[in-house]
Amino acid sequence: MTNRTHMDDHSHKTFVLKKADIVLIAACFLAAALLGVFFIFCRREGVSVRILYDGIALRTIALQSGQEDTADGYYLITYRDDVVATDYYTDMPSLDLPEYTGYNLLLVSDGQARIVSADCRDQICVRHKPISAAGESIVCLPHELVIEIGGDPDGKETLDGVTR
Amino acid sequence: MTKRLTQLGFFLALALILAYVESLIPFSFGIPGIRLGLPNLAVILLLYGSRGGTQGGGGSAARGPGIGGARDAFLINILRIVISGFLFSNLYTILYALAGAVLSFAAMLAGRRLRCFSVVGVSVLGGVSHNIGQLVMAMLVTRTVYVGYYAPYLIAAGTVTGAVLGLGAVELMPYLWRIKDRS
Repeated sequence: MTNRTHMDDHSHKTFVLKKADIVLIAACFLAAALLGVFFIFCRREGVSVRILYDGIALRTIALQSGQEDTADGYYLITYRDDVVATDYYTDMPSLDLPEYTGYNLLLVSDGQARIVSADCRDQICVRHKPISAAGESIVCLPHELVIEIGGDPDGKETLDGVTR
Repeated sequence: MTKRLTQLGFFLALALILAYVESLIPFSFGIPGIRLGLPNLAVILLLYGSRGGTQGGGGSAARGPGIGGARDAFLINILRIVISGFLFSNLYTILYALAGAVLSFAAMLAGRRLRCFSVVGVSVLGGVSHNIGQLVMAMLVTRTVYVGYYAPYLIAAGTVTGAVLGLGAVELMPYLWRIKDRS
């Protein structure tokens, strides 16, 4: 660290990292790494995409082919007051939607899900990386929307269920 | 009293300007919630400017300035979140920021009282616990436990940003005290 002995008498000791600091920083990285390894170890490819609004499932989409619900394509989630709707499109729909107060456009393809477009203020959901593993989720806080990947129907997920 | 008011106003303004600077930085890793936490710098500086205290947690602040300590730091912390929330974002963000800030403030205060950490350690505690607070709030708002998958990233990011901010605070403190001693 910078040597600042020319500074006044308050400064000389504050430039030293204490032992407890190093232990703390190491412990934090260790905790993050262990959690990360734990989650990677538990990683399982997802089989479904769930669209949740305010914690309630609106729609479940099969992530792999050979399942009954419509699979790959665009899912437009629209909001008007408290009414939420999801509509399926095979091609990218028009996003000129003056009759709604908001929208998120979800794309499901090649076993991945991502938000292609949204009119929320922070755009965090749009910048989020595509998700595919069981338990992964994209959250759009302004719209209270959660897109999450469901795992095995046998219920072998590690973090299962929705808390109430 | 006037001096105290002025100095508190100065710290609030500092926190708000830092919040504005941070809102200008496009900062995204595909993981929501990772921020630099610049405004926390003002809170840390206040936390270590104990009023007439002789024992700074990092051996700093031999002579305390007119303001500082837990009460003032908490006051500025809450005020800056509410004001910057209305200025630069929305009510939802205030909810998250408050959850993070209250937990992080408690952790930093405890860390300071323990006296085994320097400013950097206290700042790391603040950064990590801020992110954990936001994560817990996200779990409550979205009503899913799946957001817990962000925990490793958020803990690591909180450690890095906390350490960087702590080093920044260490660099700033001597200058700040010099200005205050003179006033």
